Amino acid sequence: MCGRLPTDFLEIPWRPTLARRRGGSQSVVRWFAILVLSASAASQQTTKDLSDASLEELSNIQVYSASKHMQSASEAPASVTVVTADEIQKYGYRNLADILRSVPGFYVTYDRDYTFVGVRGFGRLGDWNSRILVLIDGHRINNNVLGQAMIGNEFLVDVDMIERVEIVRGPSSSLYGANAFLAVINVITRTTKQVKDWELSYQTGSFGTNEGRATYGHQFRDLGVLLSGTFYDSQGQTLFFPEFNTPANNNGITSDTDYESYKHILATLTFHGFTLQGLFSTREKIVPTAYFGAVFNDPADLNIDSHQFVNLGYQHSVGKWQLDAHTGYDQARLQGPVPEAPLMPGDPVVLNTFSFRGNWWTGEVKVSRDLFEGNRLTLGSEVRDNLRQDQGELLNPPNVFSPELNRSLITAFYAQDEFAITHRFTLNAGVRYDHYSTFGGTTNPRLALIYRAAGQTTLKMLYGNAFSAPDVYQTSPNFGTFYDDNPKLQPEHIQSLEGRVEQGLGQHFQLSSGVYHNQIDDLISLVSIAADQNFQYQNDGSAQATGMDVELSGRASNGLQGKASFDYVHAYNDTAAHPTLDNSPGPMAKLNVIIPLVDQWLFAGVEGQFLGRRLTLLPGSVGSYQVFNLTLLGHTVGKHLDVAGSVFNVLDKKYFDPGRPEDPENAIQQDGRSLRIKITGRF
Amino acid sequence: MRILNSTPATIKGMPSPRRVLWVMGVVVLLLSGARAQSPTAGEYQLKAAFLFNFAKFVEWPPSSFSDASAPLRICVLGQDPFGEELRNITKDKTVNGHKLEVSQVLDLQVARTCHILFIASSETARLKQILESLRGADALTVGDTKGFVEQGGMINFVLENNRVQFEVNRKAAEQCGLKISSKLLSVAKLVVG
Repeated sequence: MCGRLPTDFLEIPWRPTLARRRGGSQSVVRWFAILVLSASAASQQTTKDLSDASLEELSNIQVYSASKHMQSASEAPASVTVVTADEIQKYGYRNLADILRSVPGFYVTYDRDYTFVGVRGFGRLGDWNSRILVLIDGHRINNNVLGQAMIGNEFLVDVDMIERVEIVRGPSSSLYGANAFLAVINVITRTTKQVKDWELSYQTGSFGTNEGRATYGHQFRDLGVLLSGTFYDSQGQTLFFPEFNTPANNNGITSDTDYESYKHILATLTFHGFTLQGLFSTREKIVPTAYFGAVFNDPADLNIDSHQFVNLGYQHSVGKWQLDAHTGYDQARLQGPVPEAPLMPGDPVVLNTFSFRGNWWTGEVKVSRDLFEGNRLTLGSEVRDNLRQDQGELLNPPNVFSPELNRSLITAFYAQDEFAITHRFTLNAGVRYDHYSTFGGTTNPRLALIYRAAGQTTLKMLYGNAFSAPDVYQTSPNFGTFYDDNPKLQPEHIQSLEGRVEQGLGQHFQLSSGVYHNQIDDLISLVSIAADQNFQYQNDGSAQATGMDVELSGRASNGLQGKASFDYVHAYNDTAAHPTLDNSPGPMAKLNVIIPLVDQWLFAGVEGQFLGRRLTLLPGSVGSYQVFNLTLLGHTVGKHLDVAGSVFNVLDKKYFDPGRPEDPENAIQQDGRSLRIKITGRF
Repeated sequence: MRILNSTPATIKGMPSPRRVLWVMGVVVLLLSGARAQSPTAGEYQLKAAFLFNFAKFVEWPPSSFSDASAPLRICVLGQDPFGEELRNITKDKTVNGHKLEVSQVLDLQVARTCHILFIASSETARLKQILESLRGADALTVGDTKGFVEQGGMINFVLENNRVQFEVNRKAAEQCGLKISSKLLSVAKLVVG
């Protein structure tokens, strides 16, 4: 019966129903109650089965191991959250943005093109995620033209291939250099230890969405081989934008303009201390918002992003020395055709394409050594050679791509020392110097004091500086003739001070709370120049944020686990006329619970997120909202087959994210209730 | 594509929630049928099942029970990793007429009165001291720490290939008058003494 399960499942006709049923959410609640009841009845059955098992049977049963990240996070010289593959599966996360939404201090803004993340009250509209650093297995993926880190469906790795995500809040330029401004997100992918031979996965969901993945992993003696490919395709929704509600614009209704597709290939080879990784990713999204003055309801308005890299890493330890080295080559591309209305009525629509082409090479060597008992020193150096940072417009006519060519070189040195002064008191100090061939040098320190008090209490005092380097699109913009270059642009700077308490409550609960203040100076902003009526990026403006967060997390031995957090941050610019920053929710609350319905094989993952009111670019705001997601995951056929069903935005809450400067909309509606069914087989 | 209501961002191609939840319900029922075939379990759920089996395959000297209906006491010393698992699995169970009773112990004197004493890994640092103070008691000591049987403990859990295995120190058990059945010894990964 179990073998037939997936096919039976998919043959159920997915007839689209346009009219929303009344009482839909009531039936959700009713069904959920039935599921919980039937499942908990079965749960008691399982425990009894185990007590009837013979000794031989018991010694052949495989164990699920519990993660031990909670302890290591409390030792870190920062506020750290770890999200594991297990949570990704049980909460039904679809991409990196879904993971970040669930984490204290983070919120996500989607303009139906790219997904942007705000951290601790700072998520300026018009930025390109350049104030967070995203790493894949330690390899930086922010591109070298926009400084952009992709986090939505445009992220470079299938979320199923992630082993864990380490999210480090606060400035970390003392180790990582540019972009490690508000947070560092390190995505660690799975290895052959976690993938045994074949894994196939298929999912289907609302808005005509399908995704397939094939993964092969095998350990051939000393050689580990992992290969994975993913294909995703979504027809998207028919959308209504009130800004275009005129007969000439189809009454603001646009269809077939929300399409998205992506492909990922990830290959990882491991051999002794060497890791060779290759990644290919491309994503295509039609832009329904008619941004940059595009013609409304025209599917020719799209973005095609691609990013490939190859990275070779080597780790080796000799005696007290530990060596870590890697070198990589990246290539990132964007093609963004924008259909523009003709100047003369009756002429054909003109297709102008913005494009960038970035190539860069990186090399980094890091050595660390225990100087004496309880003192570990790390020294490192990094070189990034931006071979190509070209951007330009292909104007049609004359159909010639004439990019503005750029290149730059970055060299950096850093040192970090971790010193356990007493068994209770640890000092962690680091500093890094970065030299840019464009603007010169910058030095950024970090200092952390960690005190393990009696009982299960850890106190942390954290201070750090970071910078965000001006990106090529800011120093020499080349998307239209209305921008002036500014080769003298300097980096943005942040200073941050944070105090935290981490308190274990018995063996099942952990409480973490902190207060912080961030001061950001030399913000790079678009300024209008009176002399030539053009725009130019300048170091203009500053921002402050003062906030607090508190999180309670718990885990019981039967697999029940969860976390609840509350954040409040006041982010403002005291020199501006309107001091509160746009797209900055004051309060945020998050709730995540995994409930084992039937021991070790049926789980419910429940998520709730609340976000406060946010100011938009034009005078006004988008209202606060709360969204709930529910995933049911069943492991069956001896964990060879996983079946998961998810309902996102269960209550069908209508909510909006603020529009960006290029969007004609001040607020952009987000998805209502949507569904997904996913089947994963391992053999 | 027809638009039936004026709500912005009308949803296209969405199956009705009732239908999908119905499907989920069916999946739950189908999965219920597959339960028995699932060869995976929580680590401490499994270890709890092993403790129950140790009660069945170890013979205590008659003097360790005050009478024939006295309960067989399973105790946990240190941070309890079992949650409710151990209680669930031993609930309403008897071994040779003895009801099973689970308790958490803090005091080493009280620990001497247990039949099975599970010493949690939280006690690793003072393991030697604990085993020392149990000398002469007829408790079956069960450890969760590497090197437990070498230090004089009787049975120790180890994880191997994601499976729970155990090691037995036969000599230590016999010195306290406990008889370990050959059935248990044959499944043990390692028997010393």
